Amino acid sequence: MRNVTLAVMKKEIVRIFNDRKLLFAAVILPGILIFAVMSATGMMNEMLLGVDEDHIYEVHAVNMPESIGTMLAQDGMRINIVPANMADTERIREDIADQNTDLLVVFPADFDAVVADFDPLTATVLAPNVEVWSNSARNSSAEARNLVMGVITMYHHSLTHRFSINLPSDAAPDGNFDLASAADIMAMLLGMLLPMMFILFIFTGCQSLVPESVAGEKERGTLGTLLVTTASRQQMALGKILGLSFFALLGALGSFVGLMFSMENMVPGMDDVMGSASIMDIFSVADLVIIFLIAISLSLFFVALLSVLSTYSKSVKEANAITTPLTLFIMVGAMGGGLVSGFDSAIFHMIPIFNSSLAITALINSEATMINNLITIGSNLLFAGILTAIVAAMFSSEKIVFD
Amino acid sequence: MKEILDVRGLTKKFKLNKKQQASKSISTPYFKAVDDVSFKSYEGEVFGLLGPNGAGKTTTMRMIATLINASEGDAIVNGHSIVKKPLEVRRNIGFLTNELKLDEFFTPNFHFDFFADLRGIPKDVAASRKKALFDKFGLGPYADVKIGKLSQGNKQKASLAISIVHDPAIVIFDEPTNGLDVVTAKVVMDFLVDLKERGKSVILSTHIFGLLENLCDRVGIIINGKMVACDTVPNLAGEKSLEQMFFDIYRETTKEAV
Ligand SMILES: Nc1ncnc2c1ncn2[C@@H]1O[C@H](COP(=O)(O)OP(=O)(O)OP(=O)(O)O)[C@@H](O)[C@H]1O
Ligand SMILES: [Mg+2]
Repeated sequence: MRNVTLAVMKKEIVRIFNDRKLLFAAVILPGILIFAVMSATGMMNEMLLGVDEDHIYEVHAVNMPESIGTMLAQDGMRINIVPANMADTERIREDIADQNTDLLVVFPADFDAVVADFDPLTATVLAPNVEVWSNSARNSSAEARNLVMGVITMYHHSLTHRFSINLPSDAAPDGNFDLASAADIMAMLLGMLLPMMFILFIFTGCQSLVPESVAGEKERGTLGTLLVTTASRQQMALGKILGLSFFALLGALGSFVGLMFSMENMVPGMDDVMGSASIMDIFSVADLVIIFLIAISLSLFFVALLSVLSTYSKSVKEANAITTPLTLFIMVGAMGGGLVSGFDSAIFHMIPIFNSSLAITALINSEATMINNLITIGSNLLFAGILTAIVAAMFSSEKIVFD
Repeated sequence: MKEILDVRGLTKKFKLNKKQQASKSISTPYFKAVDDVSFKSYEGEVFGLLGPNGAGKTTTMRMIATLINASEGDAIVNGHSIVKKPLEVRRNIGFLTNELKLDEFFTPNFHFDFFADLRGIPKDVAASRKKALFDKFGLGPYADVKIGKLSQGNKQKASLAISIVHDPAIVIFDEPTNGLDVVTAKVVMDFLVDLKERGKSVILSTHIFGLLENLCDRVGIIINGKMVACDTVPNLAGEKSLEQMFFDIYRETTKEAV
């Protein structure tokens, strides 16, 4: 009688589709939350570190020498040099302190000539001094300082030239010697975040569904009504777990979409810097299929796990109280795969949660092996099966249902 | 009359934890909730189980419905042993209590089809049974209204109809009118009479003497897990009212003044 599994599954699906609150909490909300949280993190990052891309740094300069002036005036620098007199410096410093402008640079008069004449071995006076005034509380001021200091330092080095480092060459015409590709950098970021997020979203989705549905049925007295029928407990448990997993998966999918949309907000200007910020640069279609399969197996595992705990509980409240602290363990397991290295033996891919974290990390780093992926999915399904059998046995136990 | 149910020395021992022991103020870890209960019931007959709170009525019925295991003894339901053939027993039994509820989110229609599915009843059979039952209960106009939106009476009617989707030979009803208003209680009583007239065997438990006198052909009295008397109402009561008779027996058994 496969009918029972189907009937129970169908009932579960119809019920949740009709329960707007639950549907929202389990399927829609995780995606929205993740988008909001990740975007907010990105915005905070931007506020703390970043400078508006269109910002032109206002640099006030006294006695700006031609040598440095030309370098600072290059287009890429986005620096507007405002010539100033010694008499203005006091006012400009106040402006910088009030965060109304970015930077003040004060050179000695005839800087180039003075520097050319200066010989540290025979000099009887101090070397000419350059002052750079900034305000580190203002992001654009700190940025402008970095830019100007960079140029001055370069000039300083060129005066005592013994060797150069990383000058633009044929191999690196733009002077970029960092060989990380856009995909590599993104992979690094994702490698740490994604497996954890991915596993945690699936879990939280399940967490909002399962106690409400399983312990809820017990509390509302509808589980007993099922159990007085001839229907097999195994099929009943399986039907319920499949039905709930369906929504868990929808929730995971929603989270995934939320994550993808928030990716760009999370790492501001990522696509500018790296040419692309698409998840498709990291994953092939085959990878995505594997991830989807892991998501399915993981949903089943979580739903089955939470079902055992919820069947044990007498009420939804009790079930939530038991399952919520579990989130912490899940988080540890979910982070684990991204933090450790060298855990590529099959054994580790048999440990639920941790295995999924390992597998996704490996996919991101292009180190995944088919056998490990299969072991991960297989082991998740196996554990889900065992837990389902436990739920079925619990349904049959008079202690659990009729106590 | 055909014998539908034969209960033979049913016994239930519960293992108690410390807290339960304390609340029952007994020192052994085992508690005999039902002690060697035997009785029979026949088609077209209503059998009433009468007993004070905690007497063991619900426990007895749950054992017969195979929801919990018997510690000792057996019951034969329409030819099937609850110990050896629990699945067959469930096929032949309708079990109703106020603790068993229908999901508020679903309509009577959906529930009926769902439970017919669970019990593996062919679609056409289920459809004609549904029509007959819904017509009888006047549920037609509410067939597609969610249970949560139904009046208490209609909710009860839906529960009753759905409890017999599989047309069982025996219907067990634990405290059928408990907590119901008089109108809804009447719905249930009419239902029981109807079942009896259709040749079903009905077992019900109750504290209400009136229900027993009006409805039951035979009555078993359970006190402290033991069946202390079991006969037809006239034979049991004789000249006295059923109520008087019950308190006489109760005093005798428990040595308590009531
Ligand atoms: N699962 C259980 N574990 C321990 N004791 C139990 C359990 N179920 C019932 N009992 C005890 O068994 C006794 C009989 O309970 P039961 O529910 O069968 O009584 P009842 O006749 O139906 O009473 P009521 O009229 O209150 O419904 C009671 O003392 C009850 O506390
Ligand atoms: Mg009872």
